Amino acid sequence: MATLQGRQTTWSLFRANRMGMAGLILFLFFVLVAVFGPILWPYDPMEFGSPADALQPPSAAHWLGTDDMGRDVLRGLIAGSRVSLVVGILATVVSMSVGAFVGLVAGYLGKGVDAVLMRFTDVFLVLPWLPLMLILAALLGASLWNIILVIGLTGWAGTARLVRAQALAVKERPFVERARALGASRWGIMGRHVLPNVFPLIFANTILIVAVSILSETTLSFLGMGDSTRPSWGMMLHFAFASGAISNGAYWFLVPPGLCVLLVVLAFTFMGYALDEVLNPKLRRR
Amino acid sequence: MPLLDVQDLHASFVIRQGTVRAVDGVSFTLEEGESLGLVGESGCGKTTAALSLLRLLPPNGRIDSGKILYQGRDVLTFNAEEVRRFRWKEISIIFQGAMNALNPVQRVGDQIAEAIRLHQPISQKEAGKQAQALLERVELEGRRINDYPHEFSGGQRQRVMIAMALACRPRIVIGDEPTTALDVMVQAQIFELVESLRKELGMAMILITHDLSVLGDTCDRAAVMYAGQIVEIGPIEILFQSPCHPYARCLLRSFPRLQGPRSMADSIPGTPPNLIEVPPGCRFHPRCQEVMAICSREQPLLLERGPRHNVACHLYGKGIDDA
Repeated sequence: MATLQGRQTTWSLFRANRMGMAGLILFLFFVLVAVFGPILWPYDPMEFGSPADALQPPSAAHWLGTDDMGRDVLRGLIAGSRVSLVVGILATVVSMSVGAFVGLVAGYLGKGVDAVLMRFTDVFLVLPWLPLMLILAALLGASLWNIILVIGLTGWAGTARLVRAQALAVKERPFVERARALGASRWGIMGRHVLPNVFPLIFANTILIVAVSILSETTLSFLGMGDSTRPSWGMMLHFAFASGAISNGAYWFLVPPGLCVLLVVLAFTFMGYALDEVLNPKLRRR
Repeated sequence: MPLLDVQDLHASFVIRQGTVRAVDGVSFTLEEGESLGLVGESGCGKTTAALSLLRLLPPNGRIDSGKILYQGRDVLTFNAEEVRRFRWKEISIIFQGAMNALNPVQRVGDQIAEAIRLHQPISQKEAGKQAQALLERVELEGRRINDYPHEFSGGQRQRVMIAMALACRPRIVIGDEPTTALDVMVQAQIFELVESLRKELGMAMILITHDLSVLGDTCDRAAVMYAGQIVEIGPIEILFQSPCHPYARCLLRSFPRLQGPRSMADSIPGTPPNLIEVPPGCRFHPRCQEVMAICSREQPLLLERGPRHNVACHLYGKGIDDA
């Protein structure tokens, strides 16, 4: 069991994994940018440049050129990193919480509760997520918190399935019976004994969900459902597309946000796969 | 009034092939501070009988009828909350296979503290201190409350389980083969520890075991179970010296002797009955060497044979014995 090894071993195994380390370094780079970047290079999306500055190619004053409103692209990117990371991580927290709760309750309580919750989960699993997200986002209105909620509430079904399967296995283990003998309540057993034993196994999955959430945020923003007061990379792509940057050959407006999305998603994917290898002994290279 | 009085307990499991009557009319009593051994072949209902006392059967099992009187109150009439409060506070268990009975991702101190805090409204810190004292009680270092189960050896883990079983000062401790999978030296140490703590704290014990030497060393009385029923129950000296029931005789003789002439241990011919369809009459009659005509027709009752010594066998039924 991966859970039996100390944190030290998990970390040393992760460190030995090149893909995982590459992902981690990339991730830490974007975290630094998101935390300190906007302080060093403030950016106000409402502050437009003069029309003469619009869609200027990269120069000494604007390293990555300017957008259709004459705003600095690099500063926009730095500001966007914050939105993308925050939305990605918080939406994952929402979907993990819902998924873990549903999966845990279904798996541990079983019988009728399990049947009802799992059919409900199946509905979310088979509904096409993009139209669902668009409808929800349109209904709730475009704000950062609503985007987080929408992404979180459409993405929990897979986690619920995963947690349920693990909970079914864990609840048969003798320490759960011992906990019952101690006089622990169902909720106490679920929280103290089942969840902590399920968690390491779904941890890798969590990190992969962050990647998916960031992509979802980009998609929503690109389709114009984003919060326009908090520009993200997806929104930059939206404006680039809307202002005809592609046909004008303004690659500096289009490529950087796309590349950033790619790199961040890659970072989380690398870390997720590496962790999966570390925590799941069956995948571990010998 | 005995501390525990089990009357005509029936418990069964529903499986695909039918209903398994794992415990079928078991009655016994346990006095304060007394130690009762439960012996019998695998699958004879020992563990089911013991777990029933805490109403801890798995989801496919149920207690069908009978009474479990603990200090005169019937445990089977308790509601969920009363059962929750009864468990561990009054009867605790030393499980077999301590590795699996401990949560691998929780410090052992926290697991012992959990047992305490479920029954006493005290702070985590206070419970932690008590856990430390309990570990010292079972001859482990108190600072090991911060260790995880995998950092303990097999014998040490079983000591942790014992500390946990003592945590709420229960009146009864159930030992469900507490030393299986431990080596002989460690087994002896564990039993010594359990016995000294039990005497010191005045707890009664129900010990499920396959090891007859352990039975002889630790128990005051023993019950021999066969196919879900008690066939003979009595003081340990009587059971060892002159067991009455043919099954008890076979079982107690199947243990090789260290002294005296060398002999092969006897095995009991045949296999234990399938508990879905039990044989009519005495359940042991197809394998019994002293079988009589009545044995396949009438089920023998557990009748008194001497002081606190009862046997369920037609050989000792009234009529034959009196004649």
